[in-house]
Amino acid sequence: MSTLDERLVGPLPVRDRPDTHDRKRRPRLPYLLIAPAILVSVAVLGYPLVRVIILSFQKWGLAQIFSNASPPFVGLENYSRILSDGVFWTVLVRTLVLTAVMVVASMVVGVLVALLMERVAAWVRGAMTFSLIMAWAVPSFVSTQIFAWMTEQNFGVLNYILGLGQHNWYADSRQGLTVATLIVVWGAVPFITVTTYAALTQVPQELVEAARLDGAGGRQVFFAITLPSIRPVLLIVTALSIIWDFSVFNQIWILRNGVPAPDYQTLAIYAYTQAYSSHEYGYASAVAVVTVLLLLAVMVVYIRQLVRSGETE
Amino acid sequence: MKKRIIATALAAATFLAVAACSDSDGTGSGADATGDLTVWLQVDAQTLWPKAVEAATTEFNKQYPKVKVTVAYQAWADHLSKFDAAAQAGSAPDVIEMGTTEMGLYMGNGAFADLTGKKSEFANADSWVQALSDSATFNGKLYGIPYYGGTRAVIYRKDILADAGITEPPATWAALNDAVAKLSAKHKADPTFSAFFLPGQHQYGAMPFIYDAGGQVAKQGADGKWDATFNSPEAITGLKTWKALMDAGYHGDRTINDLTAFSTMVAGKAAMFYDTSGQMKKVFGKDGDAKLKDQIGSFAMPSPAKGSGTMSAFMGGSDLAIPAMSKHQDWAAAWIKAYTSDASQQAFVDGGFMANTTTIVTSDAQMKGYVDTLKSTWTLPAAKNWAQVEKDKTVLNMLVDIATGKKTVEDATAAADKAIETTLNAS
Repeated sequence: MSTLDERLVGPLPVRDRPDTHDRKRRPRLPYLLIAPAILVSVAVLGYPLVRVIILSFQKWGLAQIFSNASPPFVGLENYSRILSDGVFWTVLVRTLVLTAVMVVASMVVGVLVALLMERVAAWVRGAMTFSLIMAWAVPSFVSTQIFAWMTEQNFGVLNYILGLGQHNWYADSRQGLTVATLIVVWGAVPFITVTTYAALTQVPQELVEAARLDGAGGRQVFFAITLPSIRPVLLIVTALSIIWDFSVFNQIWILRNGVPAPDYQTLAIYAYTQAYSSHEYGYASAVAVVTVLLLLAVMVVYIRQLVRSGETE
Repeated sequence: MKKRIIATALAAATFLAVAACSDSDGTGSGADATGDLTVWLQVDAQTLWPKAVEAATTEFNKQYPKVKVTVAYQAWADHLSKFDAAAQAGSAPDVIEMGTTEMGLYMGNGAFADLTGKKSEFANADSWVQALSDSATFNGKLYGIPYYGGTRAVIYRKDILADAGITEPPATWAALNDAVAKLSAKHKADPTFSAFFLPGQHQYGAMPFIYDAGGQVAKQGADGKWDATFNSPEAITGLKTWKALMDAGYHGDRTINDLTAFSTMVAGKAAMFYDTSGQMKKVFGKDGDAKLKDQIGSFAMPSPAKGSGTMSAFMGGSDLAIPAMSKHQDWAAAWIKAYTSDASQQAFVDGGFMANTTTIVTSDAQMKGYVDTLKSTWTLPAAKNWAQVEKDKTVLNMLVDIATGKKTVEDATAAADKAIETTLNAS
């Protein structure tokens, strides 16, 4: 490694600069090469993150935007407001329940479809992959609109098929959120299936054959060989699903015409309405920071498991 | 060396960025003035009267030939978020169109320049529609110029009504209910047909019933505190009348808004709905069916409380304001002056809205219902925090709860009043 670096860096005049503080003369080229990427990351991700954190400690509303005075720091006021805000906790519980349901449903369906894909004839598999990719390519804005039409009270195809007459799917938020969950699952399944199928093709066939020769049934083969082999992939896909579903927004927002009633709000929608509808940018930033922290707390568990599963194998 | 190169590049980039920011500062005055004037209008102007916008800029350029006017068209849904962001970044527009109900919040926060001294320079300043100039007035000062107005009337399909034996548009509340009953009987076999399309998430369809019954949405006490009055006996009566019309005539999703009323009418699944003239024109516009043009008429909503006469309609519309941080307030005022001339007002009327003055009205027979409402209009209280109430969707959610039967009128209004008072009286 070091020889390669020296070969690359060696002839550069950088090394001959007398005023350099770095006596060890660490190779600089790698740092220079990675610098643009880091600069862009800092500018695109780091700066907004820092701004949001600073904002969350300020009182920043319309009065601050339209006056020349700089916004006052209010310490933890925004955060204490969250803790004393009954709505926030209701929304949090709803978001957690929804996330759990969405992740479990999309993982189960996704993995089952992947297992099915392994069994079917090649042309069927091709057709399935094609359909999945097509579904994947549909923007959630479009698919949600289509689901909204299908569940429309008077002219929706769902009521027609189920023979429900003029059933309103959105009067009761539990039913409305069920529709939203369906859309999310529908949108998530292609990614989960394609990824899981890719992992399934890597399961060593000799192990499966050996197990079968030893008399293992399909269920035993799945739990003893297939599942452990694809476990790392499943963990990553689950982790990603949690992140995506925790911040679900489009599906509910569009389904409810941009006016989600209080019992339809998830954390992402709540933070958005607080910021952009209520013009309370400081408070909304605090909600966003809390959301990120909550997500991190959930993710730590998963990342730890991921690391551990790597260690044991 | 490398570091220096990067540092130089960064410095150059920064310089360019700074330079790019500063080129909007104009200099000079009158014919010599150079610079940019940014105008934010809603997309309605682009679709309904683009020529009036061009004409205003042409007129403006006679006075300031070297000023470049850029008109950016915005959508109602997010123009305030964009305005907040632009203001925060120091690049707010020089002229902005604001909905009348959005004015209070921004006037109260000192976002707009005081135009009281310039009022007489604008066309028809003596005869502006009261509801519009009220919406642009805060603490006795004028912060916006009335742009155009819009009222609500009942839009109906002549052929569907005639089919049920109704040849004259209903002139009284009793006649309207009679028409709804006849239409419902005629289309009894079709559970998706609405004699009167009236969903819950449409506050300007519901609030007039409150005002008609002698109620109002909120009133300010002598101490300056606001009292929300959806729970008053008058308002409750009004909302119950509204719900009764819905129960009798509407067979559709009660949780939606009014934006699909026109397409439902095009499909022949709605005979009447209560909305703006813009929505009426959509029935035979590019998203509707041009063949229906002769089958569509309008009439003023009859008053349920009075028994005869028409219901006092909500006067919505827009104002044009100049952000206080604009560096070109004189140019902005000159552009607004050109854009609110009599000729422009005529274009707004031709586009299907109401002029900012009662002296310019349309002669279009199809618009009769709207012209009839001009006799009596009302607007929402100019409370600093009313826009906040709108943004919180408190009223919409209350109406949906009533419409779906999730809550009684009494319970829903009591809860909403409490929430609205907290918002209105917040500092």
